[in-house]
Amino acid sequence: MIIAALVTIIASAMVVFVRLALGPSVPDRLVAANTLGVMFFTLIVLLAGVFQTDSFLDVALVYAVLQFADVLIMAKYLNRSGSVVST
Amino acid sequence: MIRTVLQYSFLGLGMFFFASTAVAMFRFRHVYDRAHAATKCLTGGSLSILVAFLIQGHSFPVFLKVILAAGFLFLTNAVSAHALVRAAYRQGTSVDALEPDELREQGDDGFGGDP
Repeated sequence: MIIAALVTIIASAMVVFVRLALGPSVPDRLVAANTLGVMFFTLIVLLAGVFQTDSFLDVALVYAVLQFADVLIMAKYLNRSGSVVST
Repeated sequence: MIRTVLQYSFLGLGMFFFASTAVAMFRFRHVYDRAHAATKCLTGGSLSILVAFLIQGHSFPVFLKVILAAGFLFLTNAVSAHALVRAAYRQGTSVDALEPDELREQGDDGFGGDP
């Protein structure tokens, strides 16, 4: 069951990655990147259960914090750049 | 027994939510709909899987870390999606697709002032 969950998450992440590659506009890509980040965060937590390694949880926590900061910085940049970034 | 059933139920729920997020990335038309899916479905799926992980029964530090991560995710995912969508609206990304553009009807151009 855990393996099925891992496979489902990875398959969903691959589908979302296609949207990240295709995405017609920059905010589309950013939303897809945010989605990918949360999916990988969940994947890391599940892998901590699979491998019985508690230190994976620290990695997951730091990953979540960094991803939040990352998306906020991207949104801030998108706000300021005006018409520089093509829509 | 009951713990196993609960764990598998939450795991299946999370898998369903993740798969529907992946479907929503292609079924929805523009960035606002996609952000809607990426906020609700994704947070629900991730929290379900984290709950399934917690039900397994772990030591107290692990429990605390996962609770912390879940709370952080619950708070920040909505915030980051809001920031992204506001930036997209200010840039004018597919604003025409918004059929009832309530923000514009209220005389707000997304910058907090009059248009």
